[in-house]
Amino acid sequence: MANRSRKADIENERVRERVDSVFASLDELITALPVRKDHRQLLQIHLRVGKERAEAWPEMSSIQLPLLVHAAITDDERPALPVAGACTLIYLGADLFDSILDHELPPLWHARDSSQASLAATTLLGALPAFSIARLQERGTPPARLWMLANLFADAGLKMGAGQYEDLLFPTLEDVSIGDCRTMAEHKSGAEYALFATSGAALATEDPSKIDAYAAFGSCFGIAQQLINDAKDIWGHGCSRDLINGKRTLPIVHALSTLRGQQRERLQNLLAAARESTEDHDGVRTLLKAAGSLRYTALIAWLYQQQSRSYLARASPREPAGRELHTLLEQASLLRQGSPSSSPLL
Amino acid sequence: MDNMEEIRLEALRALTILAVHDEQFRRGMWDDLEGTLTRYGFALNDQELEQVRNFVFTVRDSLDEDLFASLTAAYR
Repeated sequence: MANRSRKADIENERVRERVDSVFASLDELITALPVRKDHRQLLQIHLRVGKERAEAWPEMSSIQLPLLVHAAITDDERPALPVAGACTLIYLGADLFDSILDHELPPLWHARDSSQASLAATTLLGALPAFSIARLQERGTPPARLWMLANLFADAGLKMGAGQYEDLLFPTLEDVSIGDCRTMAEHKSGAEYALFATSGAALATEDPSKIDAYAAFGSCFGIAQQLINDAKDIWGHGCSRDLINGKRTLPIVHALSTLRGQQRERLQNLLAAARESTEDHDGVRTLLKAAGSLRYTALIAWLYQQQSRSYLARASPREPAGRELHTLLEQASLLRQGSPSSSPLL
Repeated sequence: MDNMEEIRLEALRALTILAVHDEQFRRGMWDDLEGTLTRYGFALNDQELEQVRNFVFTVRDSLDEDLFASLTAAYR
């Protein structure tokens, strides 16, 4: 028991060390950029937002997945630091872009114009990941592998863009199906997490079966995490940003697909009112509960978590990285960790 | 990391597709799990069935209130 706890402490320490290494490397990269001081400051603002978030949530997937997947294949995570840096830049850029669209910029941005935040998001997404990947060239990574990584980032960017487009489109559509929601999650977060895992794998090996297994592991992990975030947004806060923004996330679409007659009509009216006033958010929650939408979301998230677990098993990860990846995945659940009822499963 | 693939991937994929696209299957998962799995042609082994049953029963038997409370406690 004491041994297990010691192991957990060491793993927690490693998780935090990865956060420090990746943010130190990004800080260095941004400091060296040939741009005006005030432009650099914009990038540093969101780097600070990201670092504060990673300190509160060190399991941040853009940091942990590329490094751990590389270690799960080669026993060494250090060569993947530039890749983890590039993934974290993608995460930060996408996060900032999302915040701009949803009118929920973090406090550090409040003194700035949103056009400055847009510029920072574009730079974080479009220019900086390539600079981080270029550091691999200095370390002797063959051009073919660099090109493969460049393609992975471009492909993921396109899919994530498609997911973002669907996210913006669905509130304007009359009928959005549960399948549409699944596709959006697959594009938005599945592609992002798949990139985090695949980039670590593609740097470590040329074995396509291993790269594919880690891509599928990441994709299913990302979808599970997206569905959990969707549920957390509705039930984890008094005020739901998704309800205010009229988002059609899985719990909402499930309820609209399940409820009939007056109840469905009432939900549609409440969803419209919830965009204007948080007073109607509890009314939406009540109808979502009546439709069983929370437990349905928990089920779908669990099925994706289990798929991710199977793909990880198929990749035959080396230890201790495999166990650490498994621990990260275990957290992607809507059931309380360590509760007697959930412990045999999750 | 022993025993990580507790449910075969093919079964998980099929369960996911049906849970997303088939309304009757969705309802059956909560109302009559084993009957629904049989009707849809699933041949899960004992360990797989136990895993699915444990999860579905845990969630079904927790009122949404309980899930709501745990979410609130964990994330607020």
